[in-house]
Amino acid sequence: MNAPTSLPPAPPAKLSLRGVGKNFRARGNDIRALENISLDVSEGEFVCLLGPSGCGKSTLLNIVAGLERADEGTLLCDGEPVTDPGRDRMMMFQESALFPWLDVLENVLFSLRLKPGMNAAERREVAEFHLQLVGLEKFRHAFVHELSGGMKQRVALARALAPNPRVLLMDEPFAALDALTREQLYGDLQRIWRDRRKTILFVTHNVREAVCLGDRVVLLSPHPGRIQREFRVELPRPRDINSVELARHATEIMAELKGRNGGTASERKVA
Amino acid sequence: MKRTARALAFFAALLVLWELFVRARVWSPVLVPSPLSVAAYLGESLADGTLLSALLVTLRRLVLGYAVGIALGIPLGLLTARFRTLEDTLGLLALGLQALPSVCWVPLALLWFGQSEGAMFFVVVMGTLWSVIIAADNGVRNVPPIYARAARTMGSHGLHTWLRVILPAALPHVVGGMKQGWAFAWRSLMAAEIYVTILSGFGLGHLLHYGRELNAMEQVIGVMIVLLTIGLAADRVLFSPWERLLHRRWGTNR
Repeated sequence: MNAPTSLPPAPPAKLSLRGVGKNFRARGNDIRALENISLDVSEGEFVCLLGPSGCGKSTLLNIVAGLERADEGTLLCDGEPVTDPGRDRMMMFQESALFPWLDVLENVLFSLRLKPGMNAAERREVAEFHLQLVGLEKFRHAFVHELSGGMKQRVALARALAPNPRVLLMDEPFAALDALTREQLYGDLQRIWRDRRKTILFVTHNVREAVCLGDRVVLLSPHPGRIQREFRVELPRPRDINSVELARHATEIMAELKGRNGGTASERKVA
Repeated sequence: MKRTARALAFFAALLVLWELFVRARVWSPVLVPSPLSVAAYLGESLADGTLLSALLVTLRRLVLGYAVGIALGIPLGLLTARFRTLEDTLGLLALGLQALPSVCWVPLALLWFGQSEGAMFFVVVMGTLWSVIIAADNGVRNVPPIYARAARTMGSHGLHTWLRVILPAALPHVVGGMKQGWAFAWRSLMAAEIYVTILSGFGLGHLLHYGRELNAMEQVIGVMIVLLTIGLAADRVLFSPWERLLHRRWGTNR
C-alpha cells in the first residue's frame, strides 16, 4: 500500500482567550483553578504553557479542547466561540490513549471514520500518509501493547493529525518517555510542525522542553493559575535540546519560575 | 501437542486408578461401578438414542435461556454503569440476586409456570442474568476514562462512544462475565432438571435423577461425565477463541 507523498494541510487557526477563569468544587470548597487568562496564539504559532503541577495548565488545555467549560471569559478559535470538542482542535495526552482492541492502522482510522465526507479508500490513504509521517508505516498491523512508549506517542500523534486539525493540543505528551526517545521526538515534532503548519499549544513542566519547542513560552503560576510571564524564544530551528544557547534560556526561565525575579505579566524577549 | 498428550495421560491415569479402586473391593460395586460398566452404559444409551435426545433437550434449554440472559444482561449492565438512578435500583437488586443460589428460583418458577419449558427457561435466565449485569457494569467502570475523553476530541459522542469505545474497552470483563454466566446457567438448569420432572422433555438432569432412583450408579456417573465433557467443550468452543483474541490484542497473555 503506497501512501500519497503529500496531502495539503488545513490552514492553521488562531486562538484568542480573554479573561478565562475556572473554578472547581472539591469537598464543598470552591477552588480557583484559573484566573483571568488572556492569551493570543497566532496562526501556526507554537506556544508552550509552562508551570508547576497544580497551576491549571492542563485545565486550560482542556478548555481549549472543549472537554471542559470556562466559568468566565471568552475563548475563540478563528473568531468562533469554543464550547465543545471539534475536529479543528485535536488533542494528545500524556498517556497515548490508543485503543488496545484496535491495531495501529485502525487506531488512526478511528478519528477518520468520524470525519464526514470520506470514503474508505481516502481514509486508508490519509491514515497511511500520517503513519509514514511519524515513521511507523511498517507497524500498521501491530497491536498497541507491542509498541514502545515512544512509538505509542507517535501513533497518537498520527491519530491526532489525521483528521487534518488546525490546532494541535498536547498535554505533556513526552513526560512519560525516556530522555533519548524524547529527544528524537523533539526533532520529529519540529519537522512535522514545519511541514504540516499547525498551531500548537503544548503543556509541559519541563523548562528545556518548552524552550526547545516553543516560539513562545507562557509561564503559569499556581493557586490560582494565572499567567506570570511570557518569553519569546528566537533561537533558530531545528533546535537541539542539548545546545548551550538553549540551556542559557532555560536557566533564565527557571529563575523566573522559582520566583527570584518577581512576576509581572509583561512579555520579554530573551534572545 | 505436548499439552494435549499430558492432559490425555492425566485422564488415562485417573481411569486406571478408578479401576484399581473398584477391583480392590473397598466399596460395593453397586456404589462404585467400574469404568467399564460406565462405558457400557454410555455405549448403550448412545445406541438407543436416550442420551442424545436428553442432551439435545438440555442444550436447547441452556442455549435459549443463556442467550436471553446475555442479551438482556449486557445492555442492562451498561445502563446501570451509565445512570446513577439505575445503579442505585436495578444495580443493587442485581448485586443481591446474583448471590442467590439459582436453585432458589425453582419453587417460584414451578408455581408461576407449572411443570413446563417456561419454568426451565425462567430458571436459566435468572441464573445467568444477574451475574452478567454485574460483570458488564463492572467492566464499564474499569474502562480508563482517558479512552472516552480521547474519543470525544475525535468527534465521538453518545451511542457511538458507548458502542465503539466503552463496550470494546470493557470486553475483557464482559467475556469473563459471559463465562461465569454460562457456569451459572448450567448449574441452575441441572438443579431444575434434577428437581422437577418436565413432561415436554427429558433432559440430562432427569437422566441423572432416574439413575439415582434406579440405583444405577453407572448411569449417574456416566451422565456426570457427559456434563463434565460438555462443560469443557463449551469452554474450548465458546470462550477460548474470545480469550485468545483478547490476550493477543491487550497483550495480557503470559
